[in-house]
Amino acid sequence: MNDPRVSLRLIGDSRIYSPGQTLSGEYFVDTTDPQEIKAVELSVLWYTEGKGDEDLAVHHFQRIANDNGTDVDFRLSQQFRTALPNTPLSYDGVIVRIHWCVRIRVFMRRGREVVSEQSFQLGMVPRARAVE
Amino acid sequence: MARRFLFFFRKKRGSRATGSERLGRLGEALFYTAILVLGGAALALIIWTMIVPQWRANYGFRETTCRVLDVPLPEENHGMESTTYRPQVHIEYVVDGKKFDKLAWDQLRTWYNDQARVEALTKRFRPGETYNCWYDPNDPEQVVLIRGSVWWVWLLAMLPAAFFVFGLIGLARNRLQSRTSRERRSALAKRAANMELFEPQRRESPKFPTVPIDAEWRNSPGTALAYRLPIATKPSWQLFAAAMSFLVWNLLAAVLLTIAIRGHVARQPDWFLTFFCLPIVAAGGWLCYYFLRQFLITAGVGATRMEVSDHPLLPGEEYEILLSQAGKLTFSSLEVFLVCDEQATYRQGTDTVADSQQVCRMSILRNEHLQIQPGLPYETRCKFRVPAGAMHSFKCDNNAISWRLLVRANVARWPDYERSFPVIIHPRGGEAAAGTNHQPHDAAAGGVSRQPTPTSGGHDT
Repeated sequence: MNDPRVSLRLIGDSRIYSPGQTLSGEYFVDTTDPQEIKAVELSVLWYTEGKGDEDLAVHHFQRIANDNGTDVDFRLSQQFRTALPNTPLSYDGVIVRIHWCVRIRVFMRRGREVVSEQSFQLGMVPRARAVE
Repeated sequence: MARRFLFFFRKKRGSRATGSERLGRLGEALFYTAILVLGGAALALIIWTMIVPQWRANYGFRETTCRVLDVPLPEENHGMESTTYRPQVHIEYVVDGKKFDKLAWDQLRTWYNDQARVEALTKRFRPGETYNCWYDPNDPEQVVLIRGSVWWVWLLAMLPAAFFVFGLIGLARNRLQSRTSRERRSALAKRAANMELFEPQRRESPKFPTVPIDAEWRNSPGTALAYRLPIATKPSWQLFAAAMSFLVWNLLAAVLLTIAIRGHVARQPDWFLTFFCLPIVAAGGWLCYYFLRQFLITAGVGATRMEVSDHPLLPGEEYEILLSQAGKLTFSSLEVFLVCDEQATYRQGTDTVADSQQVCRMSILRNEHLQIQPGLPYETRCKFRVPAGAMHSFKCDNNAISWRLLVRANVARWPDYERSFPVIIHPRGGEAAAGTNHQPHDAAAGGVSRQPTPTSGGHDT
């Protein structure tokens, strides 16, 4: 059995957003058996990368489950939109980096998960360089 | 392919952690299950062999009378290191017309270390006299002369109970984590924090998530400019820490050195200890130098005060600072820098390691050849502009980006020193987007909260 494929698209010409701007997009799951999908989670989140342990915080979260009598066909386009926060801005530092992304997590019936994400940039902070 | 066989060699940090998360959770579940089973088994054993028999003797046994036939010597148990003693009294009693003849005492068959104490306990039972005793109605051969609860049984039960609860909580947590994604846990945690009954003490501004609040800065008005900046670490605390390190370390070094020297004097030198002492004594010498240096800085250099025309700072904006330095000193140079540090903490085994990297160091003031007179602090003002592309202040559990004004003094015939005054920088774009009411010189002005607008379908956490 093939894993389903997630198609995620952000609406807009640029992947650079300003604080407070609305982020919108759509996604669908390409699968031969839609009944195999138990739930889908959509998160707009930031996480850190670099030398330190990872910090992560979710700004917008949406979970659609197929186990409460509802029967969502994830092969059809699902849309989302959220107003982005003022901070933290995307940052490319030396030992600390901050990334923003939209992450889709698909939960399958037998415990498998499929994850897809689309990065974007919040704000325009120039890249940092080490000083010494 | 190779990664399939290297599940245990996880890369813990960096762009992507490697290794099998599912295998990690399984290992964690097995660990907590083992703790749960061991704790549960030990707890069940204590309950079954101690608590239940004690409870039955107290509440389930029937009372009758018995005649003491004899008070024999205590029963002895010769262990590896000591001998223990158990009291026993030879009694005769009748149940339903049937006569029983038993050695009895308590239900738990308690053993004592002290023979004299055991003999004192049994002394009150005299042969030929009648006393109360309690027998098991289901098995009349089970009889006790002494009833009551023993406190240490409950204390003994607490240890396996703690293991049992630890394992249970660990398994529940493991199950919750394996059933919920990290994003969902983060969203739930934030929602729970927002639903707290009492207003939590905020570490970050609601308008600017992850940016530390600047209440501490705005609570302290300056004498000439709007705000007086707090100093990062007070020199007196640095001196105290240096003094404690110097004292404790050198006390240890002195003890070790004395033992080593005594060995040499007695012509029985311990060369391992002698060589072991060398780096310890060297470190003690460096701590002595560091303590003296801190002492000279604290005692000889007066207070440094920094005031700023507005706070928080914004990228691209111009601000004025006032630097005040007291003391009787001659400075070769006195400099002020605007510094940005990236800070990261990470766990390495059981240790938490911190690292930092300077990513901005902008000189904003440099004065040379200064002479400060006692009672007349040196004061200077200057203007500076925060770089237009400056990253805002950021603070999370493991990562931070912090800004500070750094005063560096090069003092003639005296140790040089640095003093830091943290500042908060807010994002420029966020100000416009959030419609902030940035009000210079208004110490009472608090941040205006603007909650993100909920959108259809999901929720902003």
